[in-house]
Amino acid sequence: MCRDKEWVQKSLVTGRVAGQERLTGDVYRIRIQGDFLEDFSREVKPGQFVNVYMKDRSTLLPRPVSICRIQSGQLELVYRVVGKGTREMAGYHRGDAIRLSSPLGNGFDLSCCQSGSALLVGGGVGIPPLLQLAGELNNRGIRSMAVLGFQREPFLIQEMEKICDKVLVATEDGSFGFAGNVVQLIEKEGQEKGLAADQVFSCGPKPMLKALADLCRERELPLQVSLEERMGCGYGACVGCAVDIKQDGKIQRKAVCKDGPVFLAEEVFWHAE
Amino acid sequence: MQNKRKEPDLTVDLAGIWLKNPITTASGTFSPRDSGQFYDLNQLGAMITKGIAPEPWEGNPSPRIAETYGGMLNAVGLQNPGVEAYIREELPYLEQFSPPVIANVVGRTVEDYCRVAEALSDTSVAMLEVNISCPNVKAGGIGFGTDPAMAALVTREVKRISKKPVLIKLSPNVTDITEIARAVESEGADGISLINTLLGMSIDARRAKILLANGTGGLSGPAIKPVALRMVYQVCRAVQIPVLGLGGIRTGEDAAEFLMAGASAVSVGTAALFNPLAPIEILQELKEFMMEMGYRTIAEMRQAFQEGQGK
Repeated sequence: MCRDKEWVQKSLVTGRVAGQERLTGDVYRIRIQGDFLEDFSREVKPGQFVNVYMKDRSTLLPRPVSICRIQSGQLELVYRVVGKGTREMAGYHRGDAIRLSSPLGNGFDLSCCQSGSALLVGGGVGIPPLLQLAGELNNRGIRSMAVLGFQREPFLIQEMEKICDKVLVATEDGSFGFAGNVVQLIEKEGQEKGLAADQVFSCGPKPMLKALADLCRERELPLQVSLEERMGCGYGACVGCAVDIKQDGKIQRKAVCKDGPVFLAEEVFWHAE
Repeated sequence: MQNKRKEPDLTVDLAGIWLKNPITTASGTFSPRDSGQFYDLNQLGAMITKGIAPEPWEGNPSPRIAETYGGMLNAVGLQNPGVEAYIREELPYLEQFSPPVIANVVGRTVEDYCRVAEALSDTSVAMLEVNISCPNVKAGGIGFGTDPAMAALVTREVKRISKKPVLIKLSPNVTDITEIARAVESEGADGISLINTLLGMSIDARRAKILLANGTGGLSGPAIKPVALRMVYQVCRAVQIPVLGLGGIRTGEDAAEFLMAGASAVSVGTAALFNPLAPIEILQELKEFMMEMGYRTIAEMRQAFQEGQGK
């Protein structure tokens, strides 16, 4: 997406945990401080991620976590505990050291958004990078509406409501907002009030992204999706996180960490799950 | 010891190629443009590229990576753009840096290896490292590297066609590594690098499914270091040609162990995936270790080990 031609020096940094809280269930928000944030906030693009390096050396590989936002001199990461590494992160307390990389990957391409409105569609822990995106769109005077899906309990709703014109929420079990998934909610909203957006941005589980890609293709809405894959290095050295991308009439294996994580939905080859 | 503060001489000779230090980048874990965003590539002893095939290889589907205790499995499948694209796009970039380039070569047939070796013969590449862990599609998929006769055949044919010195990179998935090492030495290999990854598997118990899309993958990382060190030690005593040692090197002392075991130089691989700065940090640690111990040269360090062993 925003392919950076210029040679950027990347580094590893050690931050300090400023605080950590459980947002809901197994979803946590960690806030990190450090001098490096000055550089980060200058460079960072919505949709980028950082590698978090574990202290437990039995878990070798970094955990790629999308940047939720950088605010008041703090880097905020929102993540779900899914295994050993994220469990370690959830155990970090205020004052603990945390080893990170510079922002990695290519963010959402905002060059297409000079005016008009954007639709942000997020699912679960795919929502955090949309918060930073919403803020950036807001700075550019672009109106945004967010449609956010959760399995059960929602999180980051208030933060999104502060920035977006409108926030719609869907939960799988109907415990909050619309009962169903985000694509169903978008279709319902579209039928009732019409749905106009110049650009759609999304991050979430693959089945959601695929269903959204189908919908956007029908409605001829341009869609950018942020993908996830099991990563090795997170910076382009191992090509462990391959995704099939249609370019120049053929399918090419691209690295999610380096060529993505954001891709044009029309270029993604969606394998049957 | 005197001169404790003096910087040691880290230069080594690897099969006729002079390296300013023994630290190289293991194939498949190094991308010049991406790794070079974290450190100055000029600090490396040599740059070993990803595997290069005669044609583009798309590699395996995802997931390709599985973390294991103290290591990782990969089934990337040697994704690469092919030798023509390599010479056109990758090599000119590498030529901006001073360390010699060692091109890793992969193939599915003997002819594949030869085509790549021939194409690279008139380039700035300093040396070839032939990965013989690939299955031979013309011999029912048996790995070139697990059969002494087949390993010998690849060595003979590549040596016949290549104008560059040739390292043969051995697979550890064999009963007797020294048998393969002797086979490639007898066919004129200029050196040997070892070890490649150990064949492994990972199962996601919660999903009751094999984790890697490919089924099996290659185990690498600190977990395999003792196996690698043992094999490097054995091979160094079985052959006369130089050895490039690798497998789980994470610290300067790890590198020193391989050099003591007899390796002429070492490669840093998986460590660079979980720490992008690993190659230069290991170099610095090795230098400090040698200063602390009073070794002035790599040869002196190796000598100390041999004397310590009474050999």
